[in-house]
Amino acid sequence: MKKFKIKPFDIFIFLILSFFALIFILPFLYAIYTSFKELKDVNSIVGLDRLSFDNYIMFFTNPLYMVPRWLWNSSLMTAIILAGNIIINTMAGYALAKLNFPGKNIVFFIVVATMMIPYHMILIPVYVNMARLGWLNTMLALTIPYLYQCIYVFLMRQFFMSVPNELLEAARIDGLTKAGAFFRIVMPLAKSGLITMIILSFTGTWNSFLIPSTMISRREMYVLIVGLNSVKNQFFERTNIIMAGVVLVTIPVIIMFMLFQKQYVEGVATSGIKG
Amino acid sequence: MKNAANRQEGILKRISDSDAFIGLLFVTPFVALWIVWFFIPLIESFLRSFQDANFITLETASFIGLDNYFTLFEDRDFFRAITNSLLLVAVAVPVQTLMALLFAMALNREIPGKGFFRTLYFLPYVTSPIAVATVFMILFTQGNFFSVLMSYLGFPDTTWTANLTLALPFVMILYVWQQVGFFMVIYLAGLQGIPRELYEACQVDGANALQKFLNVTVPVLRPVTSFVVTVGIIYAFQIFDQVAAISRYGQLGSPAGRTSTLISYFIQVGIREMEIGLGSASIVVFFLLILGVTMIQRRLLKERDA
Amino acid sequence: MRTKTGIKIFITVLALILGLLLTGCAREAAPEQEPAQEPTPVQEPAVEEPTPVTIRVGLWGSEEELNASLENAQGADSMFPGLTVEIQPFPSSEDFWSNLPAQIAAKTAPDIVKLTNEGAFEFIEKGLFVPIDNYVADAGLDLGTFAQSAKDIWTVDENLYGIPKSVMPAMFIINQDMWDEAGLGEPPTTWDEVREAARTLTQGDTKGIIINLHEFHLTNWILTFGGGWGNGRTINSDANVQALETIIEFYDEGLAITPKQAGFGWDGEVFANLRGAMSTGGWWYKGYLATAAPDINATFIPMPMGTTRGSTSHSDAYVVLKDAVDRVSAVKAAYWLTRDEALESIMERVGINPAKPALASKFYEVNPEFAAIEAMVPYSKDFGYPADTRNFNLLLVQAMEEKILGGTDITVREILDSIQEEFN
Repeated sequence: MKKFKIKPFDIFIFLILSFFALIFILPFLYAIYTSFKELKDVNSIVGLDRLSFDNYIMFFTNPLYMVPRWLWNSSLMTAIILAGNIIINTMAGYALAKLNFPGKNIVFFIVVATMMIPYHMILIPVYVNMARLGWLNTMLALTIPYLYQCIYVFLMRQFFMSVPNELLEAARIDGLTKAGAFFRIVMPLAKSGLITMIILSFTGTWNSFLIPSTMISRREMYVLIVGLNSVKNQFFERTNIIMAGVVLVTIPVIIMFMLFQKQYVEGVATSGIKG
Repeated sequence: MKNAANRQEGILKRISDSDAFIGLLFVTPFVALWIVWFFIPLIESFLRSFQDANFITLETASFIGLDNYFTLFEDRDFFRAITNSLLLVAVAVPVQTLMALLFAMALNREIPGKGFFRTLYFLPYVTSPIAVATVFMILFTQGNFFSVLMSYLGFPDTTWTANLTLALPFVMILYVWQQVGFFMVIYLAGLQGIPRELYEACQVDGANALQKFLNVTVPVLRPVTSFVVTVGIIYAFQIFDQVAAISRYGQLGSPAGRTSTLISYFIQVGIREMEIGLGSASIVVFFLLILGVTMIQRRLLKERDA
Repeated sequence: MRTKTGIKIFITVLALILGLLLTGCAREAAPEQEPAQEPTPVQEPAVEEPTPVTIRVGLWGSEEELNASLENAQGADSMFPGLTVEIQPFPSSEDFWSNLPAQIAAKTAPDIVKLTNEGAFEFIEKGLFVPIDNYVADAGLDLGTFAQSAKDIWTVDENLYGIPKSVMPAMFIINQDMWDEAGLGEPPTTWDEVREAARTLTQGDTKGIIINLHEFHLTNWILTFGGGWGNGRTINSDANVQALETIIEFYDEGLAITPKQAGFGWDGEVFANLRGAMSTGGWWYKGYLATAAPDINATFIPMPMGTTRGSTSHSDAYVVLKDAVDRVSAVKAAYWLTRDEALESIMERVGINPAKPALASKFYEVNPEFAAIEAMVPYSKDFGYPADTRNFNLLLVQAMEEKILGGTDITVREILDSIQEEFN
């Protein structure tokens, strides 16, 4: 049966969406446009003849800016953290949503309360520990403490909670254990939650600045966003180069998002109760 | 032989069937990491709040009880940070929640180019706050596009970031603009989980679009909305990137402290002035504030999933 | 069924092991990387020091400066056997100060840092930097070729705290094209002349003068009226009041603009975008305008007078951090980085006036636009901020922004009096 839709209404929505889309894309368009300019043209409108790829070329050829290396660092860090998050957050979120275990309420409180404490509070003690362990300037410092994220534990919990208990009951009757039910019934249904976590975790990690800039001081170990940010001069910023950096950092995330958002296809969910 | 095998399977089965066992097993990695990499450093920082600790003289920091907390309550800047943060939360959260939901619903329909739109709406969340702040500061300068546009709505045509009353609203606009995409994605995912049959059942009963929205969408989205609001509040209290981006080269909270927030206060006091004892105390107080507000919110909205 | 159960068990056990491993890994405290040593001045002549020492130098700046410094750092062995100088570059000053607290706590901070004098007093007073006279003597170093004015800036209570690298007065910059178009003739020498000129120069989108409500610029103004913060003792002096009141007058007449009002970050941007015809500033304008607005004809002149000649002086120096383990070697490293060839190379590649008068004459040859500034050197002083500098700056700027951007009735005297109260 087709979705109930009104044609004119959809057109109206399309127009409103376009309006907002324009507003949302404006700064990024500014970034792209500026990234092709020379510094003296930054605040004026110039024609195509004054635009060039120079800033981007600079990033890839100037030995002070090790963009390929930084790209690798960012990718490795993100991959490790993503893997950890997928496993750890999902498991914990499921337990909080569907299983009754001693200390459940305490753990949930921990999850939510931790988000209320800005990382700045513990940044320095963590840094000191990293120094003691000798993990500074290594991938370990960038990944191990971040293999879990409270916000995504919370997120997965909410999504798991929307899986109807009748399904789990049916699974029990079929002979699956609780653990089995998790892997074979629940995960596929909470797929959209998982996709969301992947998207957001990827984005957050890729763009993360505070922790990498604190834990890493050696140029070759910078992550991309920290490295590109290091183009600052002492007294002024070369806006055109910084914007080129912004574009470089953002493109992988956009690609990733475009690929993954395809998974948000409505109509996949059914109540799952057959017959 | 079969009996032994069955018994073995029985035990394994009982274990992997036990809520308590599996539950604890599943949360162990999370809790273990949390204790080592969050809780223990947290205790250290928490203890600092009871010391007159300054980074330069860290070795001689001594216990001073609640003195730091008393200092905070005599600091006008501290109260200003609290007020600004509360205002930001009060305005940003409802606006971003509503916008995120509406956008998600719109982008869930059969609209041409919806993948493209979804990406565009997520883009602000991904763009660096510096790029965003640079552009918005220019657009909101006296005589420029947004400043003039807003003047038709009754606002003065002036440079928003140089105006003492409009600076905080400017930060609000910047923040909501960047965060909507984040929550929209979450709502999009939530909408996927609504079984089609529920709508169809409504259809049979002759419900219109609004009734479908209120009777199917909103209730099923309850856990998601709970997340969006709770996390929305918690994050809005910790706005900092936008504040830092607009006060490059200047004082945090510029102009005249009108955009100072929780974290900018901590950075100014704890990092720039190196008074880490005082800084840690400020975060403790803020934590209690956020906790209080969140608990009130959850009670008010009758969160039944707590 | 068994296989599936097996898989589930395997996965959950794996998760358990992972969790425990991570916990165990993290709890295992590795032995301290660098055993803490008591900093003891070594009592031997420098030349016979065979033990290899590496001194880490924290610095930041433009690409050119970074490259020049990396080159200058090499070969320290030739003057000080066993000494290796390692540059630890920071992306920016902000980055350094943000990470410094963490590095101090973890003892990973550099041994010496190249710093500007603006704001350094706070950390000298609080003990972050150590006096170096003893170590200089122990190392047998001669600081005679360094400019006295530079050394004075880095001397507090008779103790020297840094080996200076450069010394440069603040200056006044005017857009010569706008000036000529307005038919204004000779460059201004007093604020009254500036005011007259500003009246003509303020037209359309452009204001006559940029007065950035930033402590650097405000301090320059008060020095031109014979005032000064006196390290916190003379905050509300009459001269200071007069200076700030003059600034308010400029704003009241609509002649002045601060970068925030134009949507920019600092005065240079305003100048480069032709939104202001004149500004207080410094040598950094030259490098900035060369790339950002090469078509602008900028003229650099001494700070206009209020009641007297005065301006701030910027001096970069290498200071020794208190946690530096081998302070004598640290001082030697600083000396190596400020030897004649090093300073010359910086002068040529970066364009800063070196802190050695013998080399300075060449500077004014290579940078003739700064010729007029040379006369200001004897009049240029340190900033004189109170010891709680960051707090002071915050209060001062906030109050001025409140008054000028917010248009309150509070008087300058009331502002300075209340700030003085805080620092008594």
